[in-house]
Amino acid sequence: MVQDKKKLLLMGKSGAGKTSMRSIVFANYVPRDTERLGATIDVERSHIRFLGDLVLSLWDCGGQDSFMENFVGAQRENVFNGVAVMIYVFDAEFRQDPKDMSYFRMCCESIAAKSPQCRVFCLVHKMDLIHEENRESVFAEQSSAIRRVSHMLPVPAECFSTSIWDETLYRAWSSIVCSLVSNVSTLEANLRALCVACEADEVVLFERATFLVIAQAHTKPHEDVHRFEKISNIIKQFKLSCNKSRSQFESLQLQNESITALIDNFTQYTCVMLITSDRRARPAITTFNVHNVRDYFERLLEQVLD
Amino acid sequence: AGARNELFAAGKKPNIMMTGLPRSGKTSILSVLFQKVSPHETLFLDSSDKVVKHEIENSAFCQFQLWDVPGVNGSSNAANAFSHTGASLSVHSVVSNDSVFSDCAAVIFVIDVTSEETDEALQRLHHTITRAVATNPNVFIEVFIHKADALTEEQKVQCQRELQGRIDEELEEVGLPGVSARIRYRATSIFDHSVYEAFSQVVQNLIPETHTLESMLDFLVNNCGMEKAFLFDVVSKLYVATDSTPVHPEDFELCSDMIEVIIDVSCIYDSGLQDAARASGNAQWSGADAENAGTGSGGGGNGSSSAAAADSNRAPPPPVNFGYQTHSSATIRLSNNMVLYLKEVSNYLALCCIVRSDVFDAALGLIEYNVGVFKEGLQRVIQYRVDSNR
Ligand SMILES: Nc1nc2c(ncn2[C@@H]2O[C@H](COP(=O)(O)OP(=O)(O)OP(=O)(O)O)[C@@H](O)[C@H]2O)c(=O)[nH]1
Ligand SMILES: Nc1nc2c(ncn2[C@@H]2O[C@H](COP(=O)(O)OP(=O)(O)O)[C@@H](O)[C@H]2O)c(=O)[nH]1
Ligand SMILES: [Mg+2]
Repeated sequence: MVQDKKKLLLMGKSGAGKTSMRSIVFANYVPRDTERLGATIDVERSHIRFLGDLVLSLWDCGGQDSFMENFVGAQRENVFNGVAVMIYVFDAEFRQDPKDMSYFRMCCESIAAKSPQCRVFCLVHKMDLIHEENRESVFAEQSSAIRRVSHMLPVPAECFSTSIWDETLYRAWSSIVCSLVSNVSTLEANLRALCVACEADEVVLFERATFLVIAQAHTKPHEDVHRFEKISNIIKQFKLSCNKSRSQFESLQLQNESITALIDNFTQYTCVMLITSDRRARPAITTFNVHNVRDYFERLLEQVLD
Repeated sequence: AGARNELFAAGKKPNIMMTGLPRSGKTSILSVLFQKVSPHETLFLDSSDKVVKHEIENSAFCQFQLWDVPGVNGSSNAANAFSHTGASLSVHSVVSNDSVFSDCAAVIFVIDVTSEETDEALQRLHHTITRAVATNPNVFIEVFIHKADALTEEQKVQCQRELQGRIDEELEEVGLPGVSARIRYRATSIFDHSVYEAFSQVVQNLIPETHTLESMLDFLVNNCGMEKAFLFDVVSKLYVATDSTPVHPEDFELCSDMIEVIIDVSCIYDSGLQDAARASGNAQWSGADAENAGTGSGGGGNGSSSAAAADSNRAPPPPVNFGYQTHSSATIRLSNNMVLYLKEVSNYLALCCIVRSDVFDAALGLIEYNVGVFKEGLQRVIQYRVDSNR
């Protein structure tokens, strides 16, 4: 199998929360553990296998001034060459920092010069520290500042507001990682078929280790567009508490008056969730159907990642 | 969801008093347990110098009044009047008036282990104990050795031994040696399950049916070959009863986390909640309104779920049973061949059991039958309680 290696840069000023996010998403930290993290020195590179065949080479770049100067100066070639995704993290509390903005501009210039195909994601992070009623305006203000500064990028930056304390973390990182999976639409077409065949309201595919959302299909409208990230967050937390008692989460089945929910291991690297509100639907049959399409999706995922 | 869950007249509900020095963590504990504030958000709590009374009206067994009594240094704050549900009391009059103790079924004294003011805390604790015992000899006294997340297991034991030694000594000096044996010490932190476990045990002391519930759970566990069973108050995630085998903290944690997962997932897919949110237009839900709206529409649970709390504009506090859903049941399978089985058995009460998967798969019918029997028995216990309290 051809190994597909994607380079991701994680940048932003020191203390913005880069190492915290990556530790929670990819290394099973609980949010509170991140208080013990020290500042990152230079660059910490990690290789993460995602969905089996996708290898993410994540460059967590320490944000102290001396390192930043070095990245946009002497190390520029090395750092900004061949980048697939750059994630730039802003601390929501210190968002007006002119120095941070000027580093951001330099990073964008370097990206435009060295990796013009690169997608740029900007996270306005630690939103939990901003009073709830101000979050929207803070985010809008910061996003337009980001757009102003990054106009030279061939592919415009995409902005997210995030916090390690809620599902916004999963929303942003699901989008980031999905931008690297080339054929999500094929996957979604197949999920839709499964959804219809099972008479389900919706079907969602999660990556097993991170519980990031990869693809979804639904036949029934739902008001909450962020529900899948909420599920990611809920199940990921639960998985971590299972680990504490030295066991692993395998599946969940829930039934009440109005729905049946099934969350189960699916292919080798994914989990699936099915929601059914049809009262005639039998959980046992749903489980059976899911088992039957496993192999098919296993092959499909391999193709999608090629 | 059923009718409003105010099962007993206010006077018949036991009082629990929560006290300790300022900043020891009293309000944090109560807001995490009963208002679903997430632990890291307690950083924003203002230190208040008012006595606050909370009415807890969850399941039939979780009915009590909580008094959050701030520690007052000296008498400097004596002038701070406060009013709640009509009553107007100054902190000083509450703290100095012995009648508040005579109504009190349990006193929880919170000691901050990270604070330097141990001497002061102990002095105050001593004072509280002697007055509480003088007015109500049957009062339960609970010492929460709090913010224990800062300590290792060893330090916890050490810390408890030291505190206990000093308190025993002082009680002996004033001629109250018998009281020492009745004081319970528990290491707690809002950042893990310890505070839930500790508070559960405090509440169980105040439930007259504890032994009945325990034998019913024993019967269930023995008949079905279960490993462990807890009866949970769904809204607070406190367990009101368990079978008589020892409680391992990991088991409690898993079951408690399962309830949370099931509540959260249920609420996301609860069309009733979505309708309610739409109807209310989100913003006006606050304070007393929220309570009325919650209870009036079949809820009664206080606090909002963590899932909904993330919404903007302080979303409506949903009646977190499992949203508006009833007849909830769930299974979670784990890789160590254990199954967690959850079943809603009454209004705001859920049974959560740990069963080996071979037993579960072989005897699901038997388990469901016996859970049904348990449910009927439980209904009778509750009915008896309600009748005798009217
Ligand atoms: N309140 C809050 N704190 C956060 C959040 N994310 C991270 N933090 C805290 O921010 C602090 C610094 O986080 P790090 O991840 O080490 O920061 P960094 O960006 O890697 O910093 P450098 O490695 O020096 O570049 C930690 O104490 C985290 O607990 C968040 O969303 N909300
Ligand atoms: N580390 C830690 N901090 C806590 C814990 N409980 C409360 N705190 C913190 O202690 C501080 C004081 O809490 P508060 O509830 O206002 O104290 P009160 O005056 O006794 O009501 C807050 O900043 C809380 O975040 C705990 O279990 N662990
Ligand atoms: Mg770092």
